[in-house]
Amino acid sequence: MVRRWAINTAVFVLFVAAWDIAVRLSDVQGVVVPRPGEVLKSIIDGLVTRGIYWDHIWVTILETLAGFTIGSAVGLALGVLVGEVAFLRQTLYPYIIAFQTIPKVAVAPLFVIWFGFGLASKIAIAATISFFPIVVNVISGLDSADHNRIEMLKVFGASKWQQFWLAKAPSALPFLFAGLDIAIVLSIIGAIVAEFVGAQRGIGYLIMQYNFNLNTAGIFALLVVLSVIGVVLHFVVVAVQHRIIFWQRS
Amino acid sequence: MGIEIDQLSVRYGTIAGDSILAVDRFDLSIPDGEFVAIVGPSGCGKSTLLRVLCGLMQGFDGSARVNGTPTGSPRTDVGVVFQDSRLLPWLNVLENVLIPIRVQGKPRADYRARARDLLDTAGLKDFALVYPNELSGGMQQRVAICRALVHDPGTLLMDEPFGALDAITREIMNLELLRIWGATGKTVAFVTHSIPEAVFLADRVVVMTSRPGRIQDIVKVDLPRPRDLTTMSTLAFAELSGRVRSVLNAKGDFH
Repeated sequence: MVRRWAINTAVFVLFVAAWDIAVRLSDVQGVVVPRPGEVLKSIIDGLVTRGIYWDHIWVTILETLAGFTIGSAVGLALGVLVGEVAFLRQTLYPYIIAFQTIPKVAVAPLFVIWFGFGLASKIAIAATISFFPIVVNVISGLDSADHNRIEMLKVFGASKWQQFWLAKAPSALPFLFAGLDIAIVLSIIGAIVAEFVGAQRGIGYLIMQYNFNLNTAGIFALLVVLSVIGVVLHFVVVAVQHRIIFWQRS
Repeated sequence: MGIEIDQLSVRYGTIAGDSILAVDRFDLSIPDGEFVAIVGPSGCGKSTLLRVLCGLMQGFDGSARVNGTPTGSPRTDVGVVFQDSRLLPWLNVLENVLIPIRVQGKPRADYRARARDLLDTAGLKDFALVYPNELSGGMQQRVAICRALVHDPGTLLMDEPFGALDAITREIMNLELLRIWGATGKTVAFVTHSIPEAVFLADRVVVMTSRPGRIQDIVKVDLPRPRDLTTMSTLAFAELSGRVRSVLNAKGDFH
């Protein structure tokens, strides 16, 4: 454990050092690629000294979580319906597949027209983008249920409803969580893209501001903040997954 | 009562479009409380027979009755044990045993004590709150047997229940099964491809031939009960096993 930490830290230090040396030795200007020290300075300034990031961070997290929650809830419900009702699978599934092929970020400008420059358009994009992996994973998860177990339940007299709750739904849980893990990261992308298109607050908005001012160190700092948010949310999903799907722990 | 099978024929459709006769004019009557083993080569239709009895198959010719009522749909008066335990990994052992109670809408609280007694009998007293993945294969199969008995069915249908276990565990499981059977007096139809297992357990051994599945002969096992592992080293046991084997070999398709 200690060894692994030491190796990981060494790799990080080497990476930062290489970055710093590469920028120093080349004639690339600081405006194009900032040095790590400047990025760190921006992070400290944004989070501590002036603390101007926090407001934007909360806005983006709010949009991400709201979009993720709505997208997952609708995705779960639709996934169960399409997965379990033969008629719906036949009629709706082709449309779901077809819609899935549309790059969702391409509809961001449209959503800003429909839902305005406030939170609603960002939540709508985040929800739309996180919805598809959930639907598809829930359907595959329900299909993955072991036929023999269902047969066992049938032999003992279980109704379709009981077969669903006792065998199919638990079998679908690992797939659902794989979908949630993808969806949470996609939600962040959705929120940021929507902020690019039109917003007054949020990390995406701030990145656009810094872009206009050629404040690349600031942009790098915000990218670091974004990836920390992404990693934290990913680990929250994984932690919940480990709690719920306890029988898969070895 | 017990099990009455009369001129049962079952056909399967194949992907290629033809149909295969899996069971052909099968006649068997098992009175209440009798232990009957069914042996035969792979593909002789013995599992198909059990699927008919536990109500998983429709569309056969002839008739099959369990406890006086025709089969054709799942029923609550049989307990089934499959080759694999088919436990639900997300429920603990006690909850797994109570599955028949749960799905049949009976009050689980009333059966909890019975489920614990069964686990006790099966040597799983301390494992009631453990999850299936933490048990060995033999223990999982014992849980499956408890599950088949929890709703107190008159008939037990077992489809090669110990086929996946190692030889030593298998002997222990055979002894356990005889003990449980002796204590409960169920009617048992037990499918296996092991001749010694069939002779050791059963009152009668039904020998089937393959394609189509027919009864070749029925060997009556008059070994005294209770039987234990010394029974297997008696001359009578060897003679009976030899007779079953010779019936199988007469058709020349036992491997």
